[in-house]
Amino acid sequence: MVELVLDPSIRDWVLIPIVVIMFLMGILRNNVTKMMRKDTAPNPTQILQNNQLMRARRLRANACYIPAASFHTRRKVFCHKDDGVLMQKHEAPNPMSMMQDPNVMMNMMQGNFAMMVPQMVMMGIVNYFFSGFVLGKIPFPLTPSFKGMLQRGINLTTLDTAYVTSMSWYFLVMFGMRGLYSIVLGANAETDDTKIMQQQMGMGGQPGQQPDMNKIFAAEAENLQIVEHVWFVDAAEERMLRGGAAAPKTAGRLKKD
Amino acid sequence: MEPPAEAEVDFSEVFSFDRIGYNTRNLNYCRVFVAIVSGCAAGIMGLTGIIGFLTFFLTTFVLSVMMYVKMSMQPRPFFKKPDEVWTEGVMQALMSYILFWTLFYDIVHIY
Repeated sequence: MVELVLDPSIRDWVLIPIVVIMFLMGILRNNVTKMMRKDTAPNPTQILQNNQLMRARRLRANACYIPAASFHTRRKVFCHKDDGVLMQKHEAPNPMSMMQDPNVMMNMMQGNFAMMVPQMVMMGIVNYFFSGFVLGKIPFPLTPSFKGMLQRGINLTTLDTAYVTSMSWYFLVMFGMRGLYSIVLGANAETDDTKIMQQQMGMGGQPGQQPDMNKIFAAEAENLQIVEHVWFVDAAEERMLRGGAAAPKTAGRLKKD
Repeated sequence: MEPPAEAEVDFSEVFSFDRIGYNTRNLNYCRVFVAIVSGCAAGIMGLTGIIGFLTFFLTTFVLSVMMYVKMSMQPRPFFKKPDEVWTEGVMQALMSYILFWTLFYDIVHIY
């Protein structure tokens, strides 16, 4: 394989500047996002409901650590047919109300803009100024099918695939910079797009949409009803005589024994 | 890193989520740092191909072993799943490694 000789001024004026510009752009973007973000006051009823749910869950998980009477009292508080905490009817969230709330939309739009615009601009700049020549070589071989992606704008069939143009260098820097940002800006930086996307996905379907608390509460109440309470202390002496085996982990696992 | 599915999480173990998050963040920090440093070294030394990738996995593995020893072989209380010590953030670190490897390889050996 013949080594290409590249002009050192390509390194000084293209390779390194792209890295530096991308890095500074990321820092700028982080700061702009921080400035534009408005902290919306959390909805008190929502917090209340979440905490009730967490309490019920904790009760279910740690049921074996409290005496039967205490457990049944607590369960009654949660699951009583008429005035149990989990049996209250809540108004179902109206998905349209979120859409009509201009603040929510504005925040989402601004967030997306702060992410997208710099990327588009950078891509445009890189593509406009630095296209049409080989920029560097990646130190590992790739199959020729990457040619179209890595060597855009260069139609040399015999050129080794490892030689890349500015576009692919741009993508390489874009992906590689994330780790560097997390070091430079602290781990809670706003630069990691994928993590934010996953968070939004994890919240259930569409971002920002409230789940229907009625359904979740009903499911939790049902789960709580079927917990078979076994008190951990009941068999304590037996366990101790057996050699102090570790405490049983969950009510569920206790049932199996 | 996607959040673990509800079924896998053992609610009996009471997690302090901010502590676990702190551990994970610090581990990621170390991983990226090691990846960048070893990427620079590999680029300057002019490693290519599979040797370069092996260098990355070797340094990452050494880091994991050191973390593991620092936790006195007991990763259980520090992470949600014990194998996170070995796998957490490796992909992200690999991207950073490739970037710095390529950058220094090009600067030193190509021009």
